[in-house]
Amino acid sequence: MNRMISFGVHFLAALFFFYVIGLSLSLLLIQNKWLDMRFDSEFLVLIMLAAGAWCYFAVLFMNAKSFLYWRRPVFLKGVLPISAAIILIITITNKTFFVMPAYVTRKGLMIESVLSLTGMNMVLAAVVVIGVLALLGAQKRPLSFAKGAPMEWQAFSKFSRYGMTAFFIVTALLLFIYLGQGEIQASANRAAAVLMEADVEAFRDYLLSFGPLAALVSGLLMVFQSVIAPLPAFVITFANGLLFGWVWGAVLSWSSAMVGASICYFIAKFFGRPVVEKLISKRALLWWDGFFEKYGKHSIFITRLVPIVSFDLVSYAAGVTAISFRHFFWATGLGQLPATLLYSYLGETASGSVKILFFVFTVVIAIAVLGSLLGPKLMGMKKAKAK
Amino acid sequence: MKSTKYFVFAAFVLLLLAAAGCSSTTEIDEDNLDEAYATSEEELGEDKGIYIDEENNTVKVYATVNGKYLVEPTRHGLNWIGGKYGDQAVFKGYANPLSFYEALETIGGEPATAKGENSEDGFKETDEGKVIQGDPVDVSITWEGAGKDYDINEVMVDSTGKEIAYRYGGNYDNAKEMMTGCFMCFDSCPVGITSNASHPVDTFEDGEAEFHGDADVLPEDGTPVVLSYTFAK
Repeated sequence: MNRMISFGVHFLAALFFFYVIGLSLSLLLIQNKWLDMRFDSEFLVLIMLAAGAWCYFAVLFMNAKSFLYWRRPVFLKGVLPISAAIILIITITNKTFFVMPAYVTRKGLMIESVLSLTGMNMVLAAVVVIGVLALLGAQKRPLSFAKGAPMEWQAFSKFSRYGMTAFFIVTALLLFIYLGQGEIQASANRAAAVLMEADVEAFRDYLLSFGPLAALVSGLLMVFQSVIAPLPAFVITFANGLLFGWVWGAVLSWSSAMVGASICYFIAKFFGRPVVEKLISKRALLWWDGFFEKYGKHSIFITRLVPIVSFDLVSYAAGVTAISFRHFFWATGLGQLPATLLYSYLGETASGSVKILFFVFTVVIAIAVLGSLLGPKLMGMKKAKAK
Repeated sequence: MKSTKYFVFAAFVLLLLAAAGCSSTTEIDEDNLDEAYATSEEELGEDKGIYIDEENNTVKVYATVNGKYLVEPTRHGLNWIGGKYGDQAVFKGYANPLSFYEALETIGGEPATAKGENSEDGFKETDEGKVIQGDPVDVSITWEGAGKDYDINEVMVDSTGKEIAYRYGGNYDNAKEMMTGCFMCFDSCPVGITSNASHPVDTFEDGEAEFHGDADVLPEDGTPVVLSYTFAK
């Protein structure tokens, strides 16, 4: 029971600590009129609350004591009072004390339709009381760490720990930009919708809407789909061929896919095997281990040639093997070249038949690969039956 | 790839959808712009955000007060919540700006830039800068308990003390392309359906003037209001 109270007190303390910092930064950003007309800084509150939860769970489940910011004197006696002072100075001098904290919090948490400003102010009064009490309580009762946590923070290499923290910060920043900037949000939504429909012509039109930045946007989308989203990369390669011609389209698709693959490789290096196992599944990684054992350093090149093997899986899996980045880079570059050239060419000559051609191509390759894998087994079964 | 990656992706998509529900832009169906029109003033609301009172040559727009811009400066008087800058105005509108453009045209307004025209031609060069043209529009506002129709100048604050003089800028094509959601801007604007001819383009951006709603007159955040637009011909 006592332990549960500790968990609760620290959770509330973590959230309150990060909320105060988020609110002060958000109010500071709003003071810039140029920014305020283009960006909803209020969502920083949500991002900071997520950061608080992330730190809390890292402490609780991974014994990551360094994230106990709400107990560290420099943060508790320095950052927190400064943040509170910023909130008070801005709202009192602007005479917005009863409007802006409530408004920013309400919008940041996306509960505008749930609470009026008066209602939100009452909630905030309670939050401040509970938050201060939780912070005081958290100083008195240490968070009892789980012994032998399945993913001990200190068990990761320094490289991996920095990698995970950087990954969280970058994700949080991207999410903040997405939520706060209307134009970026609209563009991202449109891109996701078009990509998920696998509509090459619609995607080409979408890229065209960016004018001279079309190539850059296409490259960024390719990198994005490589790292996080299982979206069909061939749509981007087709569209690049259609838009820039097969030569330049292939150059763009090839180079952006290389950047994406390299990022996956280094993410795997940062996070190490346990995280990659969770990302691409233990089974897939075991399959990769077997494949790597059999084909050695040629594994990357072979898998890049076969379009049915997930491009991202190989990139992530390669990061946890002894393959050097140099070898990975060249094998990936050469291996993905034939498919990139083919898709780009098909893209340039796009018509309604493009998709049909692509699927025929994939099916033929898939049958050939499956045939080569299952053939010996089937032959063996036939021989056994004959005997 | 494996379920975890799909999970991350699904979570990301869910987040996008959640965010989309809150603040993202919405597509406008140009073939059905009249879907935003109420058949009576009583029907005005979030679903039917515009009422065309043809008898009195008036367009009425349903909106709610945005408390932030009663205390912070903005360049937007009224924006559609489905636009890219839907939350950056004193009033949040619920009908799209293209329907608003059509409604003003229906009551006889002549825009500075009509559909298909170059928005550059909708401005007049003055010593101060480019100023929006088009028919002058009288804007008034009321809400439950207001007791009267307030002129827009009674509820807005211009730091320079100038009176707001709205014009029917039009800008249909720009509004459609940019999707900012602008109904009513505080300075001359190449995107807003109506904008203020008292200040040239970029007045706010250049720091020449600041604007906000008057917190002493307007009701509190979230209160529904109805704005009326008529042409002063």
